[in-house]
Parts: sequence; structure tokens; C-alpha cells
Amino acid sequence: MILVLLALSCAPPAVPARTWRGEEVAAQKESYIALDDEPWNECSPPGDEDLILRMMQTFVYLGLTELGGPGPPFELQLYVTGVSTIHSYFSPFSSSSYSQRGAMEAGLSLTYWARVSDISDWQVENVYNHGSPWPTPNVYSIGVKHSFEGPVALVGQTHGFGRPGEWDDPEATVEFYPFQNCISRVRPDRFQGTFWFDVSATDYSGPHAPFPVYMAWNASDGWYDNYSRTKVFVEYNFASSSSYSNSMGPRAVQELQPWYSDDLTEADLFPSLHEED
Amino acid sequence: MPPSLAAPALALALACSGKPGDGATPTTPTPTEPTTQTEPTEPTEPTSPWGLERCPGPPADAATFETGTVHVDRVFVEDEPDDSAFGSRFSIVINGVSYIYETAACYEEIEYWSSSSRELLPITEPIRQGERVGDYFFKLAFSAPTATVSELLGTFPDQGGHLYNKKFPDHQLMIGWHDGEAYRMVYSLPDGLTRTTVCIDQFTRTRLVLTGLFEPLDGPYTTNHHTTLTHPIWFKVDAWATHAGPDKTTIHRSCMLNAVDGEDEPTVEWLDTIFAE
Repeated sequence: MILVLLALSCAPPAVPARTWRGEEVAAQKESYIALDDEPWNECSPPGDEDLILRMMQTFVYLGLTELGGPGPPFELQLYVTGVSTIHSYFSPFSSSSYSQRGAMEAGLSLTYWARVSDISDWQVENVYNHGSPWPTPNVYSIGVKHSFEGPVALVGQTHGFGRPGEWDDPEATVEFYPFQNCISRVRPDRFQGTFWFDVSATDYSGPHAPFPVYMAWNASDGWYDNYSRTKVFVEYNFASSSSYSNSMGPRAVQELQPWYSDDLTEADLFPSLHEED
Repeated sequence: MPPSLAAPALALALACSGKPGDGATPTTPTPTEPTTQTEPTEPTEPTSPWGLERCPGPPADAATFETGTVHVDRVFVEDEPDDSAFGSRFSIVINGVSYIYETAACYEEIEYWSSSSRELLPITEPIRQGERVGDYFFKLAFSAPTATVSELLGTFPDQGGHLYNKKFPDHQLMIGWHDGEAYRMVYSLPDGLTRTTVCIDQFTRTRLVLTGLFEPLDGPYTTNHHTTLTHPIWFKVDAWATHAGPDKTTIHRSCMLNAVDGEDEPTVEWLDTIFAE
């Protein structure tokens, strides 16, 4: 009971407790070249209890639809899937989806769906925990697959968990878990964010992942789309001779697919990036 | 949560400097003899004990390793950065381990075209599972808005992990190891939480010499209970194009391909131009 109470009280802190001077972290931040002049949001850093992962191989879908009626004019759907490794020969959006491979790997899938008038509306950090309103803000679906317990079969997947239930549900210990999602940057060609969750107190998932997990990604478009072409020059090839492997391969580390409905363009969602158009 | 293992982790990590490989990796770095280049580059006389021509060696307190088995995928994109969504004109993905895998790295490990057999799992899993304490594996993704060889040489600090942007080179890095008690892993993180540096020492059509440096600064990894790291990790990659290495050991362990892509479907002639200098 004490362990359960302690686990349930481990809400994601705004500033995790740690001991550091912070000076070199600040200096490193100051040394960065600015990506652009657009607003962005700095996400909370990981805590000492968090297993820290970066989704190094990602696929992002950005879809924009124009809505009528009152309220924000656009419906934006953002989907990211990623894995904490780099598959040698396949993108994370292969038939194995966001499956992990080695021990202590994880795959993440998140879908955000909301009405927006400005992209800065989404560059925020949201917490879902005890006392939070339902439904969870902006997050439409959550999927995490992991191999925290050890190695996995080369094909297939191990335990995964999805969207948490309501915190005051009688079955809360089975389904409820706190999470924190943060969107740092959304650009026509970039989606950067973090996702924190803690299933340790749940009956179903807790034994498989008895610690909070912090996942970060900075996803862009490095997809060299020769998939639909027959002419691609590769020398010293260590993949097979099949065109499928040649076109995807390790180069498919990050892909971002935008979709704008009807006559919409990225200028509608990112007007400041197209002021000179 | 496992206790902080900074001291034993540091001891084991420092002991990993020049860990003996399977017959070829030296126990201590030794000066290398200059080799005759097939490309029209001037021979140089490395003075660094790590055989480096232009990149700095490791910090005095760094754990160090040099790659044994390594996979390198280089892509040269013939698109002007402003003309397409593929902003970067060069990108590279490297997967490597600090030991030489028993099976030849390039073709022989792949028996048939299958999503399960084409992973690097057999190579990295022994490290994750603690069968190779003291060895490391790493994954590096790097991009730059240039395909000019002279501009790809030298030191590149991370700018927050913004791969494939149109303004500056950037990268994302992870390193994993087992210290005898548990598997540890670090990822480059944004917002100054870590500092990583990539240095490209040699860059020819058939050879890549690169170093990487991971510094925890005073960031999350100095107090994280899963991976506590209070010193830098530095590594060197010496990769040769598939089947192009100077000796049997190098051919056995090193795979590197060159791919050319772009809207105008460039071919070998463009790659000839890149390496003509």
C-alpha cells in the first residue's frame, strides 16, 4: 500500500529534483545556432528515476484540414511513431510498425488531434495525472512497445501499453497511469517533443516497466525518396540487391509526410514562415 | 532503483580504452603508418596516437573505444537546400561496436532477405545482455547542408539534434554498454542537457575516419539512476567501403556504402565530381 501510494504520488515534477550546478547546461544552450526565429517551447528535462530514451528513427505525419463554424479554423493531426534504435534496413513505418529490437529498446506512437488557429497553440506541455480532466488534452492515442525486461524475438513484439484510463475509475490501477506530453517545435518539416509516462503502479503494465520512462524526439525529413524510382545509384552496397532495400535502408532514419487538404498549404499553418511569399 | 554506479562504471569504462578486439583491435592506440591513397589526396603523417590527422583526441578523463564491426551509410543528395524538402545534401548513419563480430559484417550475416535476419541485433545484443562487459555500441545520425568534401571535414558540435535542417550540420547520438551490473545507455538530448561533438577526420570515397564525443555536462545523466555518467565517452570510427579495406580484417568488419539521390536522379558522374578534389 505504501509503495502504491508512493508510486501514485510520483507525478511529473515541473523541475525534477537533482543536484547540478546547471552552468554547463546553460552555456551549452547559449551556444546553439538558432534553428529559426519562430516561437518554440522548452520541454521539462527528465528526472533521476526516468529511463531516458531518444526516438532516433521516426516517422511523422502532419495533416491539416480546414473547418467551418466557430472556433479555431483548422484541425491539425500530428502523428509520430519512432523507435529508440535505428533499424538497419527498414523505416519505423514498416509492417512491424514501431517495434523495438534489442533489450531496453522502445517504440512509441502518438497521435495528437485538435483544433488550432496558430501552431503555437500546440507548443505546450500538458500533464495528465490525478485530478486532471478527462479526456486527456490533445493526445488522441498513445502506444508504447518495449523490451525493458530483456531481449525480444527478432520478429514480433513484447508488452505494450496504450492510452490510460480515467484516474478516478474503479479500475484505475489497471489502466490509469500519469503522463506528460510536450511539443517543443512544430514546423513544416519538423516535429520535436517529449513524452513521459509512469505505469509502475498499474496492475497490468507495472511489472513490465517498474519505472517512469522519458522519451524525446526531434523528427524531420531525411527520407530520400527513391522508392518510386528505378534509378538510384548505390556503390559498395552492403544491403541486398533488391530495390526495396536500396531505397529504404539505413537512410530512412527520419521521414515527415505533410498533408494539407483542399487548397490549404503550409503557409496557412505557418504564416510567419511565408511572409515573403 | 539500482544504486548509483558512477564509481564502478567509471572504473570499467576507463578500463575499456583500447580494449582488445578479436584479434585485431589494439589494446593501446598506436601510431598508424600513412597509407597510399587511391583518391588524389595528399598523403599525411598523422602525429596523434589515435592516428588522427585533424581531429582532437579524447579528453583525459574520457572512456574511449574504437570501432570494430561497423556499418556506415552515406547519402549524397543533389538538391539545392531551398528547392526541396530534403534540405540536407549529405547525411550519414553509422552503427558500430567496439569489437569485431565473428561473422563478416557485410554480406555473410545475411542469409536471405527478411526483416528479421537483416537486423544488427546479433552484433549489439551481446553487449546489452552483459556478455561483453567493457564493450560499447553506438548509433550516430549526422546531416549537413553541403556535399562538398572540404566542408565536411572538421569538428561539428551538436546544435540540439536538428537533423536535416537547411542551415547547419547536426547529429543525434546514442551509446550503450554493460558495466557488469546493468546495461547503461545515453542519448544526446536537447536544450543543453548533453553536449556531443562529431569530428570528421578523413573523408574519401572509400574511407571514413570520424570521432565522437559524448559529454554529460551537469545534465540529467550525472544523477540518473538508470545510467549515471560523470565523465565523457569518446570513440573513433575507421570505416572502409564494403570490400574495399586494405586487409582481410578490415574487409571482415567494415561496411560502408555511398548512395546518390536527388530529384534529377544523379548518378556516378556526380559522385565522381564530389571526390574529384
